[in-house]
Amino acid sequence: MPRIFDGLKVLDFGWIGVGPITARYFADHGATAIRIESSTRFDGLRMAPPYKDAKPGLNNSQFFATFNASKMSLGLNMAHSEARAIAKRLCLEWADVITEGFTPKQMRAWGLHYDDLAPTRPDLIMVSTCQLGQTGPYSMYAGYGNMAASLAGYYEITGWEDRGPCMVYGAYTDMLTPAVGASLITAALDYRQRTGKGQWIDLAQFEVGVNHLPVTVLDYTVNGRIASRCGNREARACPHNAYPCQGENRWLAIAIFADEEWRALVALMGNPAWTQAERFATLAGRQVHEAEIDRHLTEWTASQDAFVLEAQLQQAGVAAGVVAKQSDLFADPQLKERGFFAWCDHKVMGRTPYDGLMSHFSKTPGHVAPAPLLGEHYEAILGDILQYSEEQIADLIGQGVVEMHLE
Amino acid sequence: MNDKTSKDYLLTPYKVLDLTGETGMMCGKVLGDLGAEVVIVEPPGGHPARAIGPFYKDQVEPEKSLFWFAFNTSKKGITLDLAQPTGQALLRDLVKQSDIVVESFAPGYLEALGIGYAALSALKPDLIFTSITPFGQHGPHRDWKGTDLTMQARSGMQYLLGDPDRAPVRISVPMTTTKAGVEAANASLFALFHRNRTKEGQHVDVSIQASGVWQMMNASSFPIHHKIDQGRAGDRYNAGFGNARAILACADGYVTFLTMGGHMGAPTLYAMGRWMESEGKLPDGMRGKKWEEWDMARLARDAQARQEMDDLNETLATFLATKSKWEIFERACSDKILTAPVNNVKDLVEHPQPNARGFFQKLPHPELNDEITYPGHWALMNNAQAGPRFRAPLIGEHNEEVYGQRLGYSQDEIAAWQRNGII
Repeated sequence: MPRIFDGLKVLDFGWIGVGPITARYFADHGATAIRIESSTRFDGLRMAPPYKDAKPGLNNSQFFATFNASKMSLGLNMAHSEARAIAKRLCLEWADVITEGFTPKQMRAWGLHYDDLAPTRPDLIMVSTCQLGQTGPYSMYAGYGNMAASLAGYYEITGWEDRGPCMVYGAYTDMLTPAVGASLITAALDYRQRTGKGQWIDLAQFEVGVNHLPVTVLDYTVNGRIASRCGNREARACPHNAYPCQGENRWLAIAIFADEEWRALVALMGNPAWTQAERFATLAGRQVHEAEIDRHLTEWTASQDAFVLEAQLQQAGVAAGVVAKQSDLFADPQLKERGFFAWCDHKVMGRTPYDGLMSHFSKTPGHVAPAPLLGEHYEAILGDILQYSEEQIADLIGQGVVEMHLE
Repeated sequence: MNDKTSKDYLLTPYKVLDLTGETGMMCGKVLGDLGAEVVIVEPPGGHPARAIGPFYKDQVEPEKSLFWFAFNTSKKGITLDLAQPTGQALLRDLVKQSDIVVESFAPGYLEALGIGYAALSALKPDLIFTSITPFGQHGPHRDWKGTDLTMQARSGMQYLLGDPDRAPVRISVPMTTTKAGVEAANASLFALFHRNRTKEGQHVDVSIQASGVWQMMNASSFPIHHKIDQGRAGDRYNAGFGNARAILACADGYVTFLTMGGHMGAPTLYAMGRWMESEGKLPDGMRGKKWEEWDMARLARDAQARQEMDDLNETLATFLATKSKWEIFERACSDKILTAPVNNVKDLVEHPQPNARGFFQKLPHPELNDEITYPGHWALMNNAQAGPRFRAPLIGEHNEEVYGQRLGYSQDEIAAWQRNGII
């Protein structure tokens, strides 16, 4: 079966989220992707949870594995000039695409900045991604996506209006930026085919975050309105909330936009007397009395099974969704039908689930392969690709230039 | 890099036909911002998304929806009734000239009209046909309704957001559909890359639910590996890193702060120590501490370590409560501290960093006699640019151009279709 990016070569200096996930997109669709990494300054995700059997280890993190599926790994201790020379050879002699996610000065320090590479390889496509961008007075700001998400306004608009802001789980902009990076790379590959020109892509995670909030920005720049958190409320819908159901921490989200959806909900409830009041007949009326509706709905849902009620509501044409726990996702019949979780056999972790493909392609299905051990592919990369001899490779390992952590 | 004026857009040779509703419009926006010629198809009289607020100066009119403006930059617009046979014939004409069709109807809707993927790919075998739906084209839930709220729920993200003593919440704007729209743009470009190599088109099936699962960073496999479900933790950092309070009050608002051990967290704690020392406020408990030794695994299993972290967190909070958001941001930059202000939209629009990069972009709206400031480029590039090129279309604005100049129909035919409610 042909794959979209058969033959494409991606060199991934990324760490944590954005660079690695961006590179993984291509690896899942046939590109050869090589991670450059080191145990001396290892990617923090390699020691971050969840871990297989809850035991930390450089090759035991599902967090790392999921973001780095389908890739190869070369362990290079970049403190050695010889390691930097090997990395540079891969950049100049091998890669079509390079991803990196350091603060702006790191690649320069290694002599691997776009400016160092482009004179020899003007056709290179390189993504440099950091929190606030490669240029500007605060380009050296260092952080994770949880900082960029805060800067881009996400925490301000999450939570309850009578309380302070809430965290958005994880490093939110890390989850938004890779699809943008991959889109730009793919478009740049196409542009390169037509023009021969490469591309340096300065991808600021803060800006990508703001670009996912365009309505919020326009409501401010046009109307001067400063959005804040509002629980689950939605201007166009009511009721619109998560309601408690039978069981511990079990919730069902219900969203009523159209009046006919409201009537369908009321019918499913058996037309209780309270619903017949005139004030609930229109959206505007329901919104005025939202707290009252939420109280009644809570009484109705509290003793019911969330999954059964969800199906009944959907059957009645009402948008409802169980607030899925992570454990529910593995039992979700729809995600199962799509084969969303890719169970891969990892050399150390064994068979574990990787978050899989978001999009299905009718002619070129992607494929998720296990993440590499740190330094796992030194022989193939140094021997087959860069043509070092066995003796040279042994020397590089002996000098600590090349690393392997294979257990 | 900041100079964008004379640079190419990346996708100028390509044509996209955008049939999406409110849940899919981001896809075409991305492709249009990257330079493709995107034509969005509205029902005669205007797209339902034009009824979605907020509105320009709060004037509730179809040509003043900021929701419409936001998700349709860089698109042309035509009207067309897909439910009528003549409308379907015109659609087929348009598809023959398009590289990508993107749609977000309920699965089966277009097939029933005879203009689904099978029918259209028979006309144009190298067509890329991208569908964005809540659950995907197949499977037991494919016909289920999905809104942003219910998809945040069904993707698992909502379970992780909000205070533990209240209901789970969503981010209060439609993120699942926005994110899935960008995913769909990327997947469409992957399919285009393949087509350009092989002349083979295909159907791309984007699941908003699956894209939504990819909001949760590391959460999904906790039940497999640690036999627990991560839950919502309000202002605490609940990703398995010790559960420290991550949102702290400062003098003029809030900041987020990542109190974390190990080599990812230690530099921040040393830097905070230096800052506090410089003001004579370093408590003895923080002096000489080896923060690297506070590794995450220990924090996860050792109650005493967690208590220490909570205590430390409170000490830091007391210190930061005397500083402004801006002071904290500047210190974070100069001393590499993992902290950032909790910005609101005013803060971020006024922030000097995006403004120095020319991020926000004014687009003229001549019919409003105004210019509107939009979030701008997707990235800066040395040889190209990507960002909003022009404002969203008015209703039927490009009917003449598309039906007349592009498809070669006469003025009379176009006028007749207009009278008959076909366009």
